[in-house]
Amino acid sequence: MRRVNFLAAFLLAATASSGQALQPAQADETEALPPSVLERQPTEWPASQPGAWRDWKAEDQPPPELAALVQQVVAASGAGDLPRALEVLFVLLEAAPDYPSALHQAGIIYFRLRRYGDAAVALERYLAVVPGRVVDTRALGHCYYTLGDYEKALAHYALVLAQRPESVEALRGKGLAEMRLGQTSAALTTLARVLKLDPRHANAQTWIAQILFDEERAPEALKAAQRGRDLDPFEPRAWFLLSQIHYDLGQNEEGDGARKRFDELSLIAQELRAAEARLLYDPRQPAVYAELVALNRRAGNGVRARHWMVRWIQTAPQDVDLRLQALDLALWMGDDPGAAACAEALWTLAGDSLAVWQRLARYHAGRRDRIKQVAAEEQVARLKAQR
Amino acid sequence: MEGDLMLGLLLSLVAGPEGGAQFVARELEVGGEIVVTRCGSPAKDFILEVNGGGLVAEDFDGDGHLDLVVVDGSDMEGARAGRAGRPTRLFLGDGAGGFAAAGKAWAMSGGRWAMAGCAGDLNGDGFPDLFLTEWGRNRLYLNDGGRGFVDASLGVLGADGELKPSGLDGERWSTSACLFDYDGDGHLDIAVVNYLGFHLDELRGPGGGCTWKGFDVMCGPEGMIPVHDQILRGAGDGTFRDVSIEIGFHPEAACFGLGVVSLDYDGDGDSDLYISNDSMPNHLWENTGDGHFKEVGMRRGVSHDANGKEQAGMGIACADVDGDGREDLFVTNFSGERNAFYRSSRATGFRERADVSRLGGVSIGRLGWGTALADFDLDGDLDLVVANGHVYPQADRAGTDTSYAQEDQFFRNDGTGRFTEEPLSGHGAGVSRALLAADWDEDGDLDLALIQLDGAVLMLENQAPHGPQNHWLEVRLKGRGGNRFGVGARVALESPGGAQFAEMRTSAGYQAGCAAWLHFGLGTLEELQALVVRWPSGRVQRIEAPALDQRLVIWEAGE
Repeated sequence: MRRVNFLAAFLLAATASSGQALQPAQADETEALPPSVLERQPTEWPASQPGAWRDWKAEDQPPPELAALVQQVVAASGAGDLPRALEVLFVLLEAAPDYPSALHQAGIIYFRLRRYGDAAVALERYLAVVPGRVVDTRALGHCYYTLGDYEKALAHYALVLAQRPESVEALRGKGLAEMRLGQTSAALTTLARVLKLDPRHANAQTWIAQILFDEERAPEALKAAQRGRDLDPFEPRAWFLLSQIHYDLGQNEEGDGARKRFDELSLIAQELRAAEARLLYDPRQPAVYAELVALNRRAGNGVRARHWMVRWIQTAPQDVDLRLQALDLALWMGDDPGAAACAEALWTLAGDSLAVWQRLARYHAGRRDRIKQVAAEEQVARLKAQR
Repeated sequence: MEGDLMLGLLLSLVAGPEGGAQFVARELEVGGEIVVTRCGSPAKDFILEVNGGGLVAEDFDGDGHLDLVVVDGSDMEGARAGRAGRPTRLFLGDGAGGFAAAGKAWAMSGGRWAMAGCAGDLNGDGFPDLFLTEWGRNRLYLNDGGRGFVDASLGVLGADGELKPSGLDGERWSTSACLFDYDGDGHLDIAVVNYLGFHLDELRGPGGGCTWKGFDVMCGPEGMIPVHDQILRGAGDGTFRDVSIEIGFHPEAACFGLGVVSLDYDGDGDSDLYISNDSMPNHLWENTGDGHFKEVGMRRGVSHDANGKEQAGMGIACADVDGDGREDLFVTNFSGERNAFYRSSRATGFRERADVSRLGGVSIGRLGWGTALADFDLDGDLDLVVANGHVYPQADRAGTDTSYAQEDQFFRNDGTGRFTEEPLSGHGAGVSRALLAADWDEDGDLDLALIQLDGAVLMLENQAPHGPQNHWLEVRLKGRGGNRFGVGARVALESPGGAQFAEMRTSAGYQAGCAAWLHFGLGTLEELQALVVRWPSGRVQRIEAPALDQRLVIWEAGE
């Protein structure tokens, strides 16, 4: 399991907008009532004068008159409020037609909303305005792929890779598109390249196993699938494939074992998909965050549990109960730096909460930090005396 | 200039609006009236309103021509008021593609809300009977010697004058059904596929908290209670007994069943079942040969997509596409999902190969229903048709990456197992549901009938070329004993170029019952070496060098 610093993860999530790894997606089950911006489409955006953004550079700061709007987009996106981010982007693109950063960000937001056709429109328009920035548009390849146009996806990944040959996600997309098109050898080569660049890329590893299985090379597929499972033991797909291969090899007992784990993880994955979909259009649902944290803990997936814990805290940063849960989660994961960061946050938020000081006293006792343990116990004594 | 215009006009008349499409569509018109079906309101506020009606083909009156049954639905107001649904209708085929209304003797009353049906000889008298699925009590019409139907839904009169109960008990929401002889006793049994528990007093309509892509939509099937499928064992006299539990036809978890076909997937001589389930894993029921079943869908690789994700299985097409002697399975799914094409593998399992067959990506924007694998262009390999249309009228709103009305699809097999999408017909986008292939005009190619949700039934006449490169053969079986149409028989054609086979069945995947006729496209074959029938009785019968381009009736040989 990968270890990520809890505090660092919080900060990352709070500021992330376009930096997250996007992947070709599966069918979705999205939920919640639509804000009106969802009834609009990117074809409504006005066009700029030809060449208006000729001198635009990706690394430039936004024009001063747009800076506040850009900030709002970044804030809403970072908080997972995608409809709000989209609303501001519509305002931005009406105020500054074809502003490249806004077009790109809109493409990413649409992708995260699973509106792949709209995402493609936005990203194609971005490329039309700044044709040299193909490297920013690997998500466009993902859109074509997810919409089922594998030839177009393949062609686009090739463009991205021409500018950035070691883009792992573009390579992965290319490999999957090749696989869908039946270009088996090419797909295996491309996915092997992904693994060379990122040896822990579980997804690429499992797709290699799938291709080998489809090619009736079950013994090789088995080894590849086992490696994929070891890289990401919480991914139901790896267990599913393992069960299929075992059954195909006549190893029914092993197949049943893999199937059992697949069934467990798949059930949780379904619930997770449904819960995550509910947040897409309305991120202000504490109960859904709680469900996501609990489901991931049930699956044993601490990294994802922590991800949703961070998002949950963002909805109520002063809520000490949430911080207590975050502390428990970090301890459960064995994430000492994360637990320390949570305890530190609790220390400042505790106020007159007896339960929090008691928890902090226990935490610091466990850490053998006598100074803080005693300080917390003094707070407990003070509060008890007051009562 | 004038001459050019005239030439253009002439060309358009010859080619028609359909251009080079494989089929020419027309609305089914009988007695001067267009035949339409209804399934609730256009708003589709409840899941009961989206499945559409069903189709059944058979020769009920015994005149040698295929007839057509159109199964019709109802509406919520009627259902709430306890009114009968719209009656199922039989239209008698004339063998030239035309239909006439059947007389009063064939009239059927409306049930509660009919879904589909299938036909076969359920009482061993040599005439096809009709089984109808309903949201409500399923129904049975026995054929009175080709003269009309007798409603046997409640039971049949015994020799003693007493009513023997039919065994069609209970009120469920049954969708598809097929007839087969699972225990080899010579009497047809019924596999009934059930969907979910739908109760008027528990309805959740718009505003019920169910959304899709951020839009308020009808609720279901998620969040509703799936209902177990059933096997009704036939006594051979039109009565049945539900044996589901005692023969192991009972999965750990019930699923939202929509489609069914019988097949002998493992080639052991008995009939297995494949069932498509909405939003849940599909089931492959292996007949263990001792009168029991076990579910092996996941073990054989036909339960999920290749990602291990359950899909919204709707319709099923089943045929041996690659000529390896084992049938392959094509399953239509929801928009945003790929249709699945489970190709038989070297072992007894399957591999999902929709994409490499060029059938995956092209289906992602569609929501598929009825489907059929057959040699529609008579070139010797199997092509595919898929009926499409969404369940949510809200699919037309922004950003859904799909639409409510959709084009149906025709996929031509290029002979290597890869398919190319071509226009099905010129009828444009619609909201299609059940689809049924049969040679109604008896010209040797397979035509289609298509349910359009709340619209006219469409008849699609096949425009396949006929000539020395497009031979064909149709086979009708006349079995001994109760299974008179040889359901479950396997017919193989041997030719210098290899062999092809097909299995006799009574269901066409989604809410459709096919006629017990087998159709083979033969392409450029100039002769057949032999036709071999493996009858359900186990008897193998060989017919040397049958002539091509004929409708061949084969009687099961005696001892």
